[in-house]
Amino acid sequence: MPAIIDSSPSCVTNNEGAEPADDSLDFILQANYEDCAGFGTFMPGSTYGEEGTGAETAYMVLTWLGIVVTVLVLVAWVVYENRRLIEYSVRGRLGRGDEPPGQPGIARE
Amino acid sequence: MIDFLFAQVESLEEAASAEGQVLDSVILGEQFYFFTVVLMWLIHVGFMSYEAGVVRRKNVLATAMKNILTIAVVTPTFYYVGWWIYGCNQPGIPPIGPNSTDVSVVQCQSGIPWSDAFGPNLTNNINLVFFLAFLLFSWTTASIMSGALLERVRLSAYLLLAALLGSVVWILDAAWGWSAGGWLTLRFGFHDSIASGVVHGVAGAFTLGVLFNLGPRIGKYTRDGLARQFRPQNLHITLMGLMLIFTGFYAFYAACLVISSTAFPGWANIYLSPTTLGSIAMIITFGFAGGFTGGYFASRGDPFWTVSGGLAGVIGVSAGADVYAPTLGYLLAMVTAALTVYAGNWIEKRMRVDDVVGAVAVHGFAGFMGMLWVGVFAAGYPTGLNNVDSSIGGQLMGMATFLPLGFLTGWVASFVLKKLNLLRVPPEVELAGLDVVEYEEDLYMPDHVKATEMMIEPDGTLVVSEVVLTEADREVVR
Repeated sequence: MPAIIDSSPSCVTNNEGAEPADDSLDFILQANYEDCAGFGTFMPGSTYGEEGTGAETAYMVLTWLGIVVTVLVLVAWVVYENRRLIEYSVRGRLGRGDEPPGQPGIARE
Repeated sequence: MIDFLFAQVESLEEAASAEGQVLDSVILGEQFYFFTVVLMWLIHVGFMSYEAGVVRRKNVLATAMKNILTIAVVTPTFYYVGWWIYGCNQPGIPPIGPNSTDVSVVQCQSGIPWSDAFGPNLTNNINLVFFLAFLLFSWTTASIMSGALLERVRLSAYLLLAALLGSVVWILDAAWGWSAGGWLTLRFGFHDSIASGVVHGVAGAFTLGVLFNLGPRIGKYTRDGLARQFRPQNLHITLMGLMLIFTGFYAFYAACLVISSTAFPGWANIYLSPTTLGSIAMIITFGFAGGFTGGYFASRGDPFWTVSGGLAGVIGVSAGADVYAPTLGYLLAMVTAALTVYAGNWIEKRMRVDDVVGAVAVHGFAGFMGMLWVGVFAAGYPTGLNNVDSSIGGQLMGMATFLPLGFLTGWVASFVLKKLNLLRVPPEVELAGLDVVEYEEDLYMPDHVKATEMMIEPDGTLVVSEVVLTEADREVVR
């Protein structure tokens, strides 16, 4: 039964239910992977004897998704912390009748 | 005919045996780097404990969280950017000097984040564990800066700076001078085998640039510019943290070597010149011994500088650890640590730079001394793919490259954050303590008695902090 997302590269063969496994005498069951050197999810799949290969579309999209998320996380960290610090600071300064601090992301009352 | 067949079988057996040996060697290397990575986590446990102990009680949780979150930020940024920088930028920009295209191309291919080498790859057991070892170096580099900025830097500002230092700056200098094909190595024979300058020196320079923009903690200096001392909340935890860092440093040293059991003598330094694991382990051990001694006498028995002296001593002998004799390592570490104590005091009292843990002196100053020592005491060792001898000129070239690279990037990045009001917490937050504002909780049980916060005036008088800080707060420009 196919998974929701089949992300294995085409060099991985799927011989589900082989009985007995072709290489059951071997400790590592590698018959399904014998044509495949690199086989991570969404990777293009590289074969033996070749240098590592670059990505095809799906893996490239996945990688760039990670890059975008990393940047967004950094920005979110700045914004989230800034609001928290300024809220505290504003409370203290307004209590003393001082001007609230000028900071990005916070509108002055 | 039969003889021919026997010869064929024998040759096939030999080939199978050779193939098996190569596989064994690869698996050995994979395990080796894996365990260095595990042990190098202790460096970060150590940094966390060290810094959490040295701050005032109101900043303990924020300090510890800052150390932990270094991992959250440097890991993805190093994966997406850092490894590519190391693999693909060794010739420099623009390329300077002769270069080995073969090595660069292979390394570059393994460095791009969309490479097959970053997933399960049955023909490449080493890339990922080697990447992870470098990643741990990156965490370490970022954490070096962490301690200097304590008690007033914003978490988010620190994380941005950590990503820049850990995933861009240090790994760029590593590409140039800490690889067999880097332009500093190929052209000038620059030799920094266990990263005195590449990691520590550059991190120290970057940190100094940041500290110039960050400024001292409120109340650190009197109106006359004399330095006060804040009392650490738990000196025992601080010393234990340093000991954990020392333990992890053995793994750091080991991970700086290249292992290959099928090639004599089985070990090479980062420039692929032969060495042994034992020789560098000797130097780190003698480096600690000499460093503790130098730190103790130069500081007249001050515990902080005695133990920090051990770290400075090791950093001072790291660059030549693959070739130094134990006695030379011992003596150089002693001298480096002693000079570091003076440098640390000078930075604090004369430059008026508030470096909470002395990182600029211990890592920056000692790191640059480490590079210099190789030029003075270990010239003549062929380094890198072009076999250029190490020399004082090559070491000075490396220092002249790394100092501006570290300092200017740190200064510019922190200057931009400062101009955006994103570098430092507001004064109210600093005085209240970061824990209560950032995390809205007290680390301790409600019935835990809180000691009054104390600090030491320049003349040695112990005073209640609140009085001094309230006075100092009035002078803060808002």
